[in-house]
Amino acid sequence: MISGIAARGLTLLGLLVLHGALFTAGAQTAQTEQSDPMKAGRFDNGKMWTFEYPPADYFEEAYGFAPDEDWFDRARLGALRIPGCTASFVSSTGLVLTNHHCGRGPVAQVTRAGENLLDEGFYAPSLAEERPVPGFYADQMVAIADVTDEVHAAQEGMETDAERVAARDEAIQQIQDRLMAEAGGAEAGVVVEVTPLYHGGRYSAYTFRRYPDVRLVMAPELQMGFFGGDDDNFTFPRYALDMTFFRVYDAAGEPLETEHYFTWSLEGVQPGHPVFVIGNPGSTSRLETVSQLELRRDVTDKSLLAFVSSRLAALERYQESLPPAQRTDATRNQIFSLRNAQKAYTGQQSALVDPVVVSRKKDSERAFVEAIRKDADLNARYGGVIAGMAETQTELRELGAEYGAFFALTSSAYSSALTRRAIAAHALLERRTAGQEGEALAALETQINGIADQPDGLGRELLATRLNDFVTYLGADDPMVQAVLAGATPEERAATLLASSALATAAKTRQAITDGTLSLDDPALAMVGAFVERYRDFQSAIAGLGARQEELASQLGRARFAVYGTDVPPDATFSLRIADGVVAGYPYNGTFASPFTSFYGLYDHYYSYGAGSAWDLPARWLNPPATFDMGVPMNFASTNDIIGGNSGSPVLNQDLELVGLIFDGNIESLAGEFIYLPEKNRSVSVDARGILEALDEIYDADRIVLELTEDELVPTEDDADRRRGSR
Amino acid sequence: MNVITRSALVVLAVFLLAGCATTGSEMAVITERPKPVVNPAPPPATPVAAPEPADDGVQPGRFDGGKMWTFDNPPLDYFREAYGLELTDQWFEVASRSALRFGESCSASFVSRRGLVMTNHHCARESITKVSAAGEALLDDGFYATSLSAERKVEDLYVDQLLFIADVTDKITKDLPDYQNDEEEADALERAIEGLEERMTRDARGQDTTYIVQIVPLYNGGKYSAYTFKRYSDVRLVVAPELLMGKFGGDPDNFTYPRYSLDMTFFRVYGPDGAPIETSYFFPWSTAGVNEGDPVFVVGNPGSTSRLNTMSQLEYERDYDLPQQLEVLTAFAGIMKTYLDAQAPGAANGDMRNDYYSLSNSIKAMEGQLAGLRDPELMARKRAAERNLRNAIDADPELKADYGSVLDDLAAVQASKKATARQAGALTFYGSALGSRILTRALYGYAYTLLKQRGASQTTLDDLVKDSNELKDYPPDVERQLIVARIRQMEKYLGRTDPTLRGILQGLTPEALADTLVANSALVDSARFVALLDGTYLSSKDPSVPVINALAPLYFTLGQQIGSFGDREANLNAELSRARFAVDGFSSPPDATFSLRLADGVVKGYAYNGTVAPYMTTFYGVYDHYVTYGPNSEWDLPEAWKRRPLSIDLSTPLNLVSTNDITGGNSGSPLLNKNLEVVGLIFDGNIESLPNEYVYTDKAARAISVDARGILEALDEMYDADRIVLELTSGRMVETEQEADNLP
Repeated sequence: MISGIAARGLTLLGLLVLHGALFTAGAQTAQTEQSDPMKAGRFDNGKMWTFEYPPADYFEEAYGFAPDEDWFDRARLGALRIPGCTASFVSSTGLVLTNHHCGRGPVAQVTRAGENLLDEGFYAPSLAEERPVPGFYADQMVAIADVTDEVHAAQEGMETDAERVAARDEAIQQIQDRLMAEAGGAEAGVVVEVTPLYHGGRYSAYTFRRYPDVRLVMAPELQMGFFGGDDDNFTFPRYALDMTFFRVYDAAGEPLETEHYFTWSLEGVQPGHPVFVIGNPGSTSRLETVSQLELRRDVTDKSLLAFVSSRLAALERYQESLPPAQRTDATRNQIFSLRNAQKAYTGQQSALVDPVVVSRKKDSERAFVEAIRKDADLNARYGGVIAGMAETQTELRELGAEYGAFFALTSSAYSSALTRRAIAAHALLERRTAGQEGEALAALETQINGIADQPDGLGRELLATRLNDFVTYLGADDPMVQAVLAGATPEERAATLLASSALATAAKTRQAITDGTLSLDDPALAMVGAFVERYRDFQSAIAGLGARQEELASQLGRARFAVYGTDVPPDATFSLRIADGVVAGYPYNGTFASPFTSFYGLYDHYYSYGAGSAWDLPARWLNPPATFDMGVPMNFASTNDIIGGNSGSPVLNQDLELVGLIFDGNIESLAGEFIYLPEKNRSVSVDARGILEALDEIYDADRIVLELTEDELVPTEDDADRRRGSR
Repeated sequence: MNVITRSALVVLAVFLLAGCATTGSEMAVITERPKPVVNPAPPPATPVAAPEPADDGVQPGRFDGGKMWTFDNPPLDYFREAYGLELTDQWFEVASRSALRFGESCSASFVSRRGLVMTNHHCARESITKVSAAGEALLDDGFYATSLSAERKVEDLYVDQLLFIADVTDKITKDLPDYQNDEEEADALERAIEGLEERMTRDARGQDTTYIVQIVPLYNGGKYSAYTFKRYSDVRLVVAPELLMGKFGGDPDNFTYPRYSLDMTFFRVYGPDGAPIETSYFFPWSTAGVNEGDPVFVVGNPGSTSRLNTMSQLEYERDYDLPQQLEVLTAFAGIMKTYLDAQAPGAANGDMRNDYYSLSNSIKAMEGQLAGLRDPELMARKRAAERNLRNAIDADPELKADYGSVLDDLAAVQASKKATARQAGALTFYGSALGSRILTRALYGYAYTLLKQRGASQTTLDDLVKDSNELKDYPPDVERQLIVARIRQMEKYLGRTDPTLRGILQGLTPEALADTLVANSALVDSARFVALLDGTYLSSKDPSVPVINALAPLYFTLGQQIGSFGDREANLNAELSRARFAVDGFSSPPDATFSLRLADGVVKGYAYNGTVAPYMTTFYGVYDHYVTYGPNSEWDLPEAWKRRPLSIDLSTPLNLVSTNDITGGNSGSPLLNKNLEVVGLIFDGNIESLPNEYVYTDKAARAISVDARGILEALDEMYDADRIVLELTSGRMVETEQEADNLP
């Protein structure tokens, strides 16, 4: 569920200016010679290779086959980017494969009244019944241009960080406009994006062909797509059928004829086979300096994890306080999301305190600094950048207490409605006092009135948790904290504020605004008054340091590229990459995990955890036909380097046949945010053989089986049954 | 599963001179094996635990000392409070008398009125091999006696049933004078125990010739109990699965869960009349099984734990003992693995492969224990418990006078051990069944020659030859590397200029010495070596002689030192134990002593691998593992299981986990519900249970059982053992399988 967690993670972001990446990463073992585990390894920065700098020589060295340009072109053109995820063409007639967790939105979207397609699954028995998904699209990367010089030239001579950022943005816009125009403009169905690589050390312009007519073909039940639920997320061994099929249609409304697609491998893979993942990894933080990682460890990521844990506890207390009948799915889902985020961030945090990771990061930085120093020209330009970055981190560190205290202060999901109303109302009153009126104020009023009520208990828990944050990070003796708490405990104070403020409910708030009775004496507004100045100073300081950091990272990116060239791939940027790896088990749980799981394991889990658990089975699966072979591989682990955004990526063999479908990483892969360690990090895929067995035996989707195995498109399931039956 | 037999570290236990324990005190000087001691180890390459956090507020848990309750002191109030159970004397009588001690390292139980006995397959391997007739491979193929008359008697196998317990602490300790010398004190204590044991056994035999009495020191000698057992000596094999099923997942899966193993074997006890005994003490079979959350009880014989160890003892173990041992084991295992990896598949390396697996398992177990000792939370709890004990002693003037210095004295012993750490590090595991055969045989040759010169009895000498014959030859290449590894180890700890080392090397490099020994010493070959065991070895020209002449004095001096530390520590442990008793009257159960205990727990999954482990697994999982790891792996299946009958219900529970406090020796213990019905069969602990050696926790530590439902399903569907199914489910014993089949 890589992209699943990523998307949820992003909703937490709010204030997270410092925090670039929230995704998690993948894995790899391969034949890396690693003598000393404490020393930096050749692939610590991973294997998310770009197509503009294809690692043909390395592939030959590692796997003994030398892919040519055509191989890389076919790999690139068979892959697709869909919103938030990756997908690929799997037939010459536009059939598209991605994950179920990437298709949940579209599945819900095409559900009609009386249907419950997300839970029950969907199969269009005929072409005519494939359902268009409005607004959904798939992008195919058709051209790549290196525009580094143009962007860098535009930044030359700029004085301040802010100017450089502005110049860069303007240059990027110009390039995009020009390339769009050259490609025939938006009406030609083309999209151009300029992507900074190496934190701006390089810039690539990617031209995509956008396919806007995408229709749902087949989706399993949520229970199968999400088998094991949030508990099993980020883990292996695994037993999920996390797949969904779409089809791209052309402008004429016919299934797209495409020469670029990945044929289905019937043989599948064996342990040790090299495999290649083509996809769009979202983001990683592997090129961050040691000082940046230390700030994450001690301040930002630590606060983030504490935030997730304390909000989780608040939600759980709230849920516990309700009679079971009143507990809602929405809260339950929020709790699951937070548990998952907690799992992910805990995994990342443990990487940051892992002596092996820290030692390798330091060793790698030492070598980098040394390389810069040895080259007079580089030293002149970049000699002080790592130190400069460290200074910036020191300054950010000084804001650590405020960072923790104000983290996600205005988040709609995790901050109390009262706090949010009071912050906005405080601004309103301030502006009114300053003499503003009319539209500017009206917009603010609308915003305040738009803040929906939370259930009583929930609002109180969230407010008390925030007040506890103030005490934790700023200290009980801090004058601001004392003013906010007015001598009470956080819990008491939260209750008092909710009982006495005119902003406690949406209705009261509207009334107070209409009546004009709102005043800074309101207890909630007084609370905001006590911290607002400090809050704004903090925001402004963070913004300045953030720009500084971005600029330094960009210089480091240039230096890194100058030193290492394309031997080191750039951090993930949700743009197309190719990651090599091998199918491999790993040491786990005191024993050794096989790289494969089978449908037997699916049933083992169902019966072990029982009906009603996260490992429940849909009715259709409870009594499989006698012909169903439970020994067929269902999921597998490989060492490919992946991260959130890779969800839905095809896993290909050397002949570019599809052998699997990426959908997650194991728990050990969470460290991949910072470093790619091949010993235990694994990506997790649905096995192509398992997909076929399920389509054939359980879903009776012969039409699709025929298309995948014979590349033969027939209009209806009946036709398919006849064709297959006659064979 | 080894974890659970007492011989968890079976390889480590087979020390060259270990057999001398039975050969009398004349061997004392040279029998003390250099139990790996101190290493003033250079800073370890592996990451050291983070600095210990302040222990503010950390308190020991109520059950840190575990739940291995003794039957003479069961915690009735706690059982009432925890489970709402009012357990009667009769309940405890049935529980203790239906349980059995199986041979010298396992547990078992009666599961029918007619003497049917259940234990683990891994406890029965030796017995199964013993009853295999020519042309049979019962260990691999499994066994089922289709009739009573086909049940096969196992020579020398016995089971012990605990009948009575008496507190004999006063009898042992009251006449012991205050010795100044630790060794004298230890000897006197041993004599007192042996004497009482003999007297009581003689008395008991007057009543019943099958009775034996054993004195068990509890709480490190703070208490002594006399256990009277009835010994059953006619034990016959009834049904055993194939080795692949009993050991499914092999050594890799040992100490782990989720698990899919049918680690069971059934025997039957026969009376002196040659007929199955009739016993009113047995555990009936539960066909309903358990659910998550159910309370369950384990009755068995846990081998040993170290929960009463003091901080200084634990720290010594953490910083010296375990790291030194791991260092040597890892080096030896690496050499074996390199060799095995280079062999053609299918090459006959059975012994070496088994040695390698045992080594890997020992490494796994020790790493798990070491991880516990490096866990700041665990250590904080131990520290808090010790602080409380120290405060309590100091608070009472009388206690303070008697025991005020014991903790410090124990710390002083550890400091002394550290002073010999260099030598101990150099010789860790030397003289054991591990490592170079040449170097170990040289030690045997040395001992044999000296003992013979001193007029040792022929028995003693014969035993020595017998022991030395246990050492199987290694290929020259492995032998060479093992010699080099030992010399390197000595170099590391003693330094290149050490006289002993120089005497050993005689100017050669370690590699050159190894080459010479492997090429020219008769000791590479067990037969040629035994020929030298005639008292002439030391005067022979064998190139190993100068080596052992240089090495042996260090070895035996060290052995003596370690022995005296051991005596001192044992005496101090006993004193500390008396202090504990004075402070809290033994509120915790004693450390495990391979005597009968009752451990309560709850059937429960746990957090694992980023998700949660279910409380039970099913037969589906067997097949999932078989198809995903493949044939010829540790998860291979016997032919019969590959072609399973359609009627087997794969969703039947196969293994289950519970929070019961167990350790090696508990293997084969019944898992019982509150009505004392069999719901499972203990066979292992999970990887998280390894630190329970020092502190019992139930957060993620679990005992693993074969589920009673899975046993029945396998007996019924796979082994077609209707005779046994009938006996288990209805209590009715029939003569033959045919008779059972013909019943409605």
